[in-house]
Amino acid sequence: MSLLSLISGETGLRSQLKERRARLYRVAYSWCHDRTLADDLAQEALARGLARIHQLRDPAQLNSWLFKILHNCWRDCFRCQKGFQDLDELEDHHYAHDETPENLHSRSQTVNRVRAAVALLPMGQRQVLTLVDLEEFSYNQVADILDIPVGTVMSRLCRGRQALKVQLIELAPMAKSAVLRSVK
Amino acid sequence: MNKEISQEQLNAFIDGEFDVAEKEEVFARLQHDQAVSHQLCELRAIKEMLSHGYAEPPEPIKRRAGRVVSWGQMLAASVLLMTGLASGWLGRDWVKPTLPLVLAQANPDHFMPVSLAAVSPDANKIILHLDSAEPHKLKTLLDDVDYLVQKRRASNQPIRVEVIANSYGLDLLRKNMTPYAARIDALARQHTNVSFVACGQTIRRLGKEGVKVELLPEAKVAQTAVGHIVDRLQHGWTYIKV
Repeated sequence: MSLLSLISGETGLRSQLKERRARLYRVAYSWCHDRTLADDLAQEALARGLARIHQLRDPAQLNSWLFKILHNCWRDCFRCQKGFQDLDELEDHHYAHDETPENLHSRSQTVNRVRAAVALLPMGQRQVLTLVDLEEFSYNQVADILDIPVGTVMSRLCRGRQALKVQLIELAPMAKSAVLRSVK
Repeated sequence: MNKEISQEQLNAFIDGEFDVAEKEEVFARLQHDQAVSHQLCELRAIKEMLSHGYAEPPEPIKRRAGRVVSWGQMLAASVLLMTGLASGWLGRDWVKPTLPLVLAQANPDHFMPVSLAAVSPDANKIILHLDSAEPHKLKTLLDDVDYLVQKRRASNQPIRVEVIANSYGLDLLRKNMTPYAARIDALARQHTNVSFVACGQTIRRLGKEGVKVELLPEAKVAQTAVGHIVDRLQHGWTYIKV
C-alpha cells in the first residue's frame, strides 16, 4: 500500500482509492455519527490528498498522511460552522439519547450501544480511540496525525477506555452479569 | 516486580506498543496478579467492542454538492450569475413585449393575457365547439361524439367530451329548435362523461331581441362560450371546431 503501488497500474488504483475512501468514511463516521457529513469529509480528505500528493515525502506514510488530512478537514468543518454549531443536528445526538424507538428496535443492540457510548466521549478521546482501534495506528502515528504529544495520546486513550468501560460494562445489566460470572 | 502497573501501561500493552522485554514484564506480572489480568481482559473487551461497533458503518448518504463549497466554486457561480443578469439587462430592449402584453399592461382591468405555454395537453379531454346551425354540422357533431365515446369505451380508455354551443349553434340545445332532442337526451343519459354547454351571452342577446330561449334539460349554461373554451384550454383540453 505504498505510493508507488498507488500511482503505478491504473487497474489497482481504482480499487485502492475505493478501499481508502471506505476507511476514511468509517473513521469520519465514528467521529461525527452523521452519514452525510462523514461522506463529505472522506471525499474532501481524498480530494485534498490527491491534489497534494507531491507533498508526501515518505510513501510508507500515505495512510497516516491521509488521516491527518481527514483530521484537518474535520477541524475546518468545526471552524466554519462555529457560528451555528449545533451538535443536535448530527446523528450523534440520536446515539447519545439511546431511548429512541429506532434504537430500542434495532437489530444490533451492541453496535448501537457502542456508538452511543462513543458519541458521549469528548472529541479528543474519541479521535484517539478510533484511530487506534479502528485503523490500528501506533501511538506515535496518532500523535503525528492529531498533532499532539504522545503522552496526551496515552492519557486520552486511557480516559476514553475508562469511560467506555463504565458505559458498556458497568452500566449494562447483561454485560455486568457476564463479568460477575467470569470473576467467579 | 512490585512496581504498580499504570492504566496507561496496560493500554499500551494491549495496543501492541510494548517491545519484547516490556511485554515479558507484564506477562510475569499477570501470573501473580488476578486484578491486573481482569483489568486487561476488560480493556481488551472494550477494544474489541469498539472495532465491532464500526465494523460495518451505515451506508454513506452521498450529496452531489458538498457542504463545503470552495471559493473557486463560489466565484464561478457568482460570475455565472453576473453574466446572466448583465445579459438580461443589456438585452432588455431586444425583446419587446408582444402586442397583447402591451395592451394588457395599458389596461390591466380589461385585458387578461392568456398563455398556454405551461399547459400540458390532455388528449382524453375534448371540447367540441359549434357555432352554426347548418344541419350537416349538427349531425357531424353528434356523430363525432358517438364515435369518440364508443371507440374509447371499446379500448377502455377514459375520455371526457364537452359540446359548447354558441351563436347559431345554440339551436342544437334549444328545446323547440333542435332536431336531435332525443339523441342528446340518450347521449347524456348513457354517458356521464358527455356534457352539453350553452353560451350564456348568446342567450342574453337573444333575450334582448325578444326571443325566449328554452334549453334542453341536459344543457348547462356558461357565462360566455369563449371564456369557457379558454378556461378548458388552460386545463389542457383539446379544442375542436366543428
